[in-house]
Amino acid sequence: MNEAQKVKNSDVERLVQASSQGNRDAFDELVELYQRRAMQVALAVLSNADEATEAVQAGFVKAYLSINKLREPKRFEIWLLRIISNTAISQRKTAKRRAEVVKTADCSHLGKRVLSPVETANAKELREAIQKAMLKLSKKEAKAITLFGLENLSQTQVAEIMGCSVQATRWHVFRARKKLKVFLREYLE
Amino acid sequence: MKKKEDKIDALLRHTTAEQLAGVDWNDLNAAISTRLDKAQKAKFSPALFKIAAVTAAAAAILIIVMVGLTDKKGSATVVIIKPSDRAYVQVNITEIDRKRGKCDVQITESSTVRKQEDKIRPNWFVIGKAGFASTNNGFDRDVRDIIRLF
Repeated sequence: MNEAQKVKNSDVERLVQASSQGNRDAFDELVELYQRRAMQVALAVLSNADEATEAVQAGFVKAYLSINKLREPKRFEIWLLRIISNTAISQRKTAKRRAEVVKTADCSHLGKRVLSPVETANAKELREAIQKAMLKLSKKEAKAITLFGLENLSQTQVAEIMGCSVQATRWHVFRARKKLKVFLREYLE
Repeated sequence: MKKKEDKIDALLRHTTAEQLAGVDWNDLNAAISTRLDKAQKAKFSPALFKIAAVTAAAAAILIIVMVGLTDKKGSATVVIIKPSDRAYVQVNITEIDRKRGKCDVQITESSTVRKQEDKIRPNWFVIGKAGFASTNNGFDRDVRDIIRLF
């Protein structure tokens, strides 16, 4: 159970209402409650801690600046996760460019390198492989598979965040898994 | 098939969890707080008010200058009258208008409408005189009516 779920919904609603009236302390409390959840989403999309941190920061700023437009305070989590996931998705361009730079650098120094089983097991390498694979997915696929992996988020809620039907969301997840199976096949054996 | 899907999900979950474990939450919280401070300042920045005030003042000055240039005392104003019917022309000048060298020209249609068959006749006139005048020269004389006023 995450921090946000330990807090009563009524408390979250109170904090959201106070924040929308310009109470900064209330918003700081919301940040503390939801930063872990936000980071989880951003990390799943970007697979890179630095990029994810940037996306989370930018996402919270966007949320702060537009919280007075949130009509239903009880839907804060859905609304926030939509902002965070959209921010992370839109940051993928930068991430892609950086990944390309790393790829070029690797090739120039190492040439044709055969991966050993030990290297394959290396966590860093796996992270990079996942990052590259995620970047190859479409925006919707990346978002869908990320949100599906989150704990305590129903399929309906995922669909709400995605802004499409549950069936369409499932379809995006299906497509994402299918592609990831190909991109990450050497790690799935 | 299902196993592979589960593996993918597990792989993603595991990688995310691993990276989450390395996050310094206090650092992240401080960074978010700093960004929010900046955003808050930018939102209510007095500089924005200054820019708005300067822009409004500049616009006001520009309008005044334009009015001053285009509406000088005694300068001519050109008005286009729609190809028209017989007209009764009356020039009314108020006390304030006289000081500014302006006058109102009211063109009142006469009761009989002149028919213009396929003829478009735009009539121009120049207002250049201050003073009260009134004339009615009858049928088809709208241009002359105005000219006679001056």
